[in-house]
Amino acid sequence: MQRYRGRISGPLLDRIDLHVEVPALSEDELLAAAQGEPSAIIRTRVQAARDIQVQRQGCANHALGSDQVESLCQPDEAGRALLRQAISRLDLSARAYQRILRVARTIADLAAAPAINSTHIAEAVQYRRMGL
Amino acid sequence: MALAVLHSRALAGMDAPEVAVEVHLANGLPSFTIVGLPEAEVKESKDRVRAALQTAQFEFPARRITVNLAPADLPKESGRYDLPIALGILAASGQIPTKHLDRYEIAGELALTGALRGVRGSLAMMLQARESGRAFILPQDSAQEAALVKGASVLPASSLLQVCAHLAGQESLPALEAAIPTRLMAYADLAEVKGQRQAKRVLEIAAAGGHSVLLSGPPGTGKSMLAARLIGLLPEMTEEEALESAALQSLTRDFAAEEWGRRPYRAPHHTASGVALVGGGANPKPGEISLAHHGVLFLDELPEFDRKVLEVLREPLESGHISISRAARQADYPARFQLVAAMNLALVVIWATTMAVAAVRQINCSVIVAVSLARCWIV
Repeated sequence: MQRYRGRISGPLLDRIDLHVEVPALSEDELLAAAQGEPSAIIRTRVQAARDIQVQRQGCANHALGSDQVESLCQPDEAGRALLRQAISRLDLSARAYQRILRVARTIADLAAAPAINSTHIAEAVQYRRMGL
Repeated sequence: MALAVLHSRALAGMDAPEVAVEVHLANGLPSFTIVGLPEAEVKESKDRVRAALQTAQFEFPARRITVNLAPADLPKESGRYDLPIALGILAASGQIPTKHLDRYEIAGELALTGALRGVRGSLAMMLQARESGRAFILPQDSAQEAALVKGASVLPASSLLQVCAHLAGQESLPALEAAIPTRLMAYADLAEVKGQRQAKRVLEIAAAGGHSVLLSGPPGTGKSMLAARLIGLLPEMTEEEALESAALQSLTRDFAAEEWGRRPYRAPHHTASGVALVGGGANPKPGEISLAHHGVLFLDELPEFDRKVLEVLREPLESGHISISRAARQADYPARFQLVAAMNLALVVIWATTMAVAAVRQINCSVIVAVSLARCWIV
């Protein structure tokens, strides 16, 4: 286990924006017919969010520079408070902090929201809850 | 006239510098020399050219033949100079007219029968040949991918005789019209994956912002299925993106025109070496990260990859390109890929182990435990 963990530790994991658990399915889910949104519908939302990004900054959110993060990804008051709490509780690195803001910006763009609020921050923090 | 000059192209990374193929016939003992840093394949072209000219019923001049590939300091590889060398010999010995030769750029490998075989990287060559304003004569097999370049003038040929007939003005080669597929790409659908609502939401966010993803969970829960479906969520490729991606693919293998505009999905096995991932070799070739340019690179069983191999990913992940330096030459390849990694261990288990190990190691145990408790609470 330690060997396993040792191999993936370090700066590479820190550079991955979104960490997510893919749990085993329950019997009910397994037996039920596959249902969910088809890719085509999701793609239209993705395209809309990407268009917003390209119009605003000319590139996708993952490519935002640190000065752009400061100017474009500032959360509102409640979001800022939540972020402050997360930084101290999870003792996040400066890189992790920037990455959370970039992901929160994307979540806000998907919702077509001009400002980042606390829900967006909460969701972004959730995908980095290991504090890596 | 005992001299002929033709134009062709070399490949140096994504770049395709122009190469002048100069053929000179002199009096003296019959010989055939190729100069201008030819590599083994180019040296061997002597025998292919001689046989192909004889099978096509041309006369192989019994004179002192010198072929110069300029610029002299650029190494030349592959069989793509066979056709220009053969045509150069024919032109220099007066068997075909020389006056229109500088309207064309020519590349193609010759079979002993005089037929033309496809060459690697025709798309990358065409991208640069377009700026020279010349038409490009290419083997039938490679012409399709070159024609994908907007404004390209491609003349496909299937044999040496066809090219000679064209140059002699007897039967011209028909220009190939670009057949850019307009239909929507068919990707695997995310609806096929059962359950996993959170993972699907994460893929949507990743697709929208181009973020990298780490999927973790027990085997058989659909991590690979989910990863393979990310390319289907990404926005359509722009023409420029499609062109860059296609040019990179064409450097390592034949690029099928139907693949135009399809986002690449690369899933190298975990035994892959560092060179296989980032590219390399004496003559640097693009690796998996460059082949996944504008697409998805999926690393399944992330911890099983050699640690050194994973470390080489760090820099291109930030910069979006990779510079490969070897003693003789350097190459710079773009590598804007989206990383999706998967591993079997649940994140919580990993985190708990780290914490336990750290706690034992640290002298100040109590502080660690306090921090751990605080983390537990928030998790």
